[in-house]
Amino acid sequence: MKRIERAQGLRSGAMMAAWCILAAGEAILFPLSASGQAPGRNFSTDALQIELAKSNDIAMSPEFRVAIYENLIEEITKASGFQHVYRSGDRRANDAPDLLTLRTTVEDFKRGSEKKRQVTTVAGWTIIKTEVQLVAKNGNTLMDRRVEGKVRLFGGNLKATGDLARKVARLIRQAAEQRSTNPPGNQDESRGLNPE
Amino acid sequence: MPFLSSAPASLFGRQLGALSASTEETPTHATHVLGLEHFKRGAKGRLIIAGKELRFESGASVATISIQSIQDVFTGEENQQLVRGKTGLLVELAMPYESSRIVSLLASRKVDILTLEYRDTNGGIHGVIFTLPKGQAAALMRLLVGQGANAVVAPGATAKPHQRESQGVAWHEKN
Repeated sequence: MKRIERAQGLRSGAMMAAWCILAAGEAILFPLSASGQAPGRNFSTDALQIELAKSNDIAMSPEFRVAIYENLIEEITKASGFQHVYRSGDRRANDAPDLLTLRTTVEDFKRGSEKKRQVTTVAGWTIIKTEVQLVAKNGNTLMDRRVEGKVRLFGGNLKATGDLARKVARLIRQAAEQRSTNPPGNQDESRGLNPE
Repeated sequence: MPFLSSAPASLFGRQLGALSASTEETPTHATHVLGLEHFKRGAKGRLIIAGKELRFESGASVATISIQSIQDVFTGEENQQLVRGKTGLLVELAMPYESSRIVSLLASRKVDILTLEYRDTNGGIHGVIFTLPKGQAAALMRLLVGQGANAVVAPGATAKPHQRESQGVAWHEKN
């Protein structure tokens, strides 16, 4: 009888543990799914214009500047939920009422070597350090962040620009989400919505 | 190729007409790195200057860029590994005692990079990057400039930072 009771106790204990794990999992997942935006959801801000990356005094090959720009357009169009993503110089952006502008400035660039990466696995990284600013039409800076793009092992040097673009797209999404929950009229944008 | 659209892709909403043979330059083998919407990255094809257009053909798909709309052309060089990606990973796993590093050390080649910046009909800037066999980018750039494309840096020269802003005036080929 004692064995049976012990077995029943163990079974109920296991069930309790499983229940606790499930509940904990749900608690972790639920806030994510609640706060996460469904792909394609539109924010209160509909339009974003992406400017060509500036490199100022940094010695960087032009293909990297172009690759940063094109990757940013691709990633942000794919992930951010803006209705319109305009390219630099697009005249249609002038008519957008609540346009945001994304400015990227390269602050540091180190061109690595694909061969070195493959042979040594610890050297030859390509690193791009940038300052990314999201600016509203009235000139307020909504976001000002330092973002790094890297390629450490596999792939060509330009892959660092893809890594950078993915990170920037994630930040833009967060900033746009914050803006949609706190519309521009509710508070001072430059103070309240800067993620830093 | 299954990943490419079968219909011709036109960057300016124009479909290609019949080309006269006299205006078509010798095609250059090229690999699309990024920038063309209807082409997968890494798509191999041919770059052809046909009249006032630059065409990229890959399988049944065609993209065209009006040469007049090209704002800037750059050339560069890159050392590219021959064994890379999934194949590279498989080779690495298959070869014992880290001997795949010797393959990595030896199996590389230099390629030219051709970067174009052009404007669409709305004024939006687009960028396209191709890799070409070594020594062919400068020749293609010369042809593009000859057809009316703008270039800040002379063909064959490597673009330097600030050159774009400081020079101010676009470089044109002198006949």
